[in-house]
Amino acid sequence: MSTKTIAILEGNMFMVSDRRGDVETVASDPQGLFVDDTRFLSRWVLTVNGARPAILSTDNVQYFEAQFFLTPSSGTIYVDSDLSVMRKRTVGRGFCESISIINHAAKPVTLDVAIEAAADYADLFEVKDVLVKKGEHYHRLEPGRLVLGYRRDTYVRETWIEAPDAVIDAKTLRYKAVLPPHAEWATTIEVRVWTARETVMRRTPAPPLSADSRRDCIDELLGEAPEVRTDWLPLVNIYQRSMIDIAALRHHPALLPQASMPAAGLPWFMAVFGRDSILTSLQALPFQPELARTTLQVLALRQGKRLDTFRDEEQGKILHELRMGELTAFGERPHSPYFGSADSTPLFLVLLDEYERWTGDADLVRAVELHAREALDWLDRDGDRMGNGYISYKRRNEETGLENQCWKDSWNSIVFRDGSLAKLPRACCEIQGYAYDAKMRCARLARTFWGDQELAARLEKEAAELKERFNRDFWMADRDCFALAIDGDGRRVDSITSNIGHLLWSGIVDDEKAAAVVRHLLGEGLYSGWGIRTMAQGEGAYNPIGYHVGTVWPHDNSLIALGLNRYGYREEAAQVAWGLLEAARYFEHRLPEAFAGYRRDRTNFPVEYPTACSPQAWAAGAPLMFLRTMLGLEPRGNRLSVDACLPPDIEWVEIRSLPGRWGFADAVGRRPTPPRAAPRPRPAAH
Amino acid sequence: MEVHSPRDYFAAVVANPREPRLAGAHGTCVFDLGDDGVWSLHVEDGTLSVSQGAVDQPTCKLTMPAHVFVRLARGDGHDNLTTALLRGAVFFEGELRFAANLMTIVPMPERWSRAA
Repeated sequence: MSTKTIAILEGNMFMVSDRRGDVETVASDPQGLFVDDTRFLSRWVLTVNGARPAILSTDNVQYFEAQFFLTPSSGTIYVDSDLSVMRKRTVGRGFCESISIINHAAKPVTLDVAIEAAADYADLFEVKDVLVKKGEHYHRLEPGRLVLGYRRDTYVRETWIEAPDAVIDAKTLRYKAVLPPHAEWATTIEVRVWTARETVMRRTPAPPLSADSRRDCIDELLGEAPEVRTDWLPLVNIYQRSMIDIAALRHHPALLPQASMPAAGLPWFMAVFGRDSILTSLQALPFQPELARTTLQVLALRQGKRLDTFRDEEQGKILHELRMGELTAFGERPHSPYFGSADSTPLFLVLLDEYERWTGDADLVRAVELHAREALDWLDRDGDRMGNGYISYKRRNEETGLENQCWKDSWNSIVFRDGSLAKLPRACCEIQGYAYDAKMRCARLARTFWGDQELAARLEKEAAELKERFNRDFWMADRDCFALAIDGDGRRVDSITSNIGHLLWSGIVDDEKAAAVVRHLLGEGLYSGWGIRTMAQGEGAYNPIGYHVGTVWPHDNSLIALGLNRYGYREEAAQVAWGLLEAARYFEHRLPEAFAGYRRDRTNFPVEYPTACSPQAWAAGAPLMFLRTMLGLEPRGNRLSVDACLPPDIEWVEIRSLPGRWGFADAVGRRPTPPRAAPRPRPAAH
Repeated sequence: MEVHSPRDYFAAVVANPREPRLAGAHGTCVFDLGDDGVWSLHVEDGTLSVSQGAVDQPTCKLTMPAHVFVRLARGDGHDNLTTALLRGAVFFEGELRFAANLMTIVPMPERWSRAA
């Protein structure tokens, strides 16, 4: 989010305002109160005696709570204001704002306090694309309540603004009072939201959750989470920031309302995303395994069931994105859910196996066996769009579907070295790695839990063949590197990108090619000093502030670091982790979705990417995966194995009470004590 | 076979009683379709059956006009249970998780049409 705005969130609800707490939306500006991808407040402006107070200070107290200290401007620096204005707000099942004003003067003050309110009910896609509404807006005045509403056929959304002390009209809540000397005036406004749930379940909107109950929840969450101790203190702050951000981004899916899974990020992606939810669950697995369980259950229930061109749905495919706004409800966007990603399906299988390895939850592995088998079938059937044995993508929905269905999903991300676009369908290299890994892992699941030796043997054979073909077909001898993709004409897309690091994570790289991959990853082209860029400096499309063609993505680096460890490049893995952890210090311990790819020695600090989501789930998950990598945490049977390799500036790290199939375990990593230098021989006497 | 009425759809269910992708699912969904009657769809580990009228304590209940149901069963206008619920075109009681299973057979699977 912009530093000019303040955002608070809880699950699928968030409020974004300016730094004095006001919401004044302009076209394409994501300010307002959003619930289920719909804006329920598009104007929320406070005036005191006809003027908007000036900002003294603003603070996000918690992820769901913010406060604003303001004062009416006296118009000159030579005259102090006699009034202090405080706004305190929370979100959670609704929105609640308390306003208090203190009179510091020795004489009474007449107050005229007003809140202007409006709701445009813009779908988040309408905010992005500036579309015109097709339904009608209305309002209703009830005792102590202003109801703002929107109706289109049976689609109804309402905002109930409860202000019992106010004089209310269609646009304003107004308070008049005479404030005695040194006295305080206060009021509280509650906003309840009428969403699809209220309509279809025929219930009235519930009041907002209390801030106290949620503060207790955070204390409980952090109290129950594994504890990180270290000699490098910023790491503790980064870890706690990550845990709180992942908690903030928890989405309570309608299918399993008591459980939670990670949503993708604020503000554009507060929704269930297959890829993002899976990868964040993977990152958080050693710390919060329950996220992975919910993610697997929900994605299995929502698995593709038929061929549906509009939704890019195919049988067995795992969803890309589920939205709940008006455009989705009326079939004007395909997100109900949309299936336009080629990597969610193999990643779902990877998560399933990894979840069992950490937790020993065999029941879930058995419960989703059918879904896993359908996902495996998809890899070889619909996933292979070109019929060449590789997973590739080309959208079926040519109008509103996604062009790029890999994690680098911006239009210009899959390009040749000369900057020209690769032809569709595109078989991206990392997806082949995921498919290889998925087959290897499912072979284990088939043998151990599904009682299907034949399937296990077949998957291992297919995986071995895929690895052999991949190392032949994707290898560019002239660049000593794997291609980014194979395009629709069968050409190797020859840009050097971070995607090759995911190949290490998957295990598809032949051992003799690993060293070359590592040289590229830590070489000047890809490594900025802060992290590994999405595209190497020197490539035709490289741009240090290009979304997927030069920026540094923390989640990308976290997977790459784990991959480096897998192939035995532990010092290099620690180097990657250290660069990102150091960068986090410049972002108030919160890694953003992405930051610029400028060379470290050019800027001395990591440069922000202007529209990066923050907090973002898989960026918040990255430090957790770095901790796993640095400590070399791996489940081995029913015990947790620890084999640390720490960066030079960290002497020791300890994590207490890591949950898993072993119950709870502690992990400690220390840098080896350097061997004592041998005594220098005395110079010979002359 | 094309669906022109709720009766057509439930006849198709009866003609296709095995749905392997609903293995492990157990429950009953009541469809209250107003003047077009009440139907109960039973799922028992991949086996489907239908009865007319409601049952006590169904796993879930969906209430909607018949024309909305037909639209859903046919998948007209890209409609599915998710879009219908988001639009408020359907009232819902019970376990949403069980209802999610029904998306396997609503809209009606193409192979049922071919089988008829």
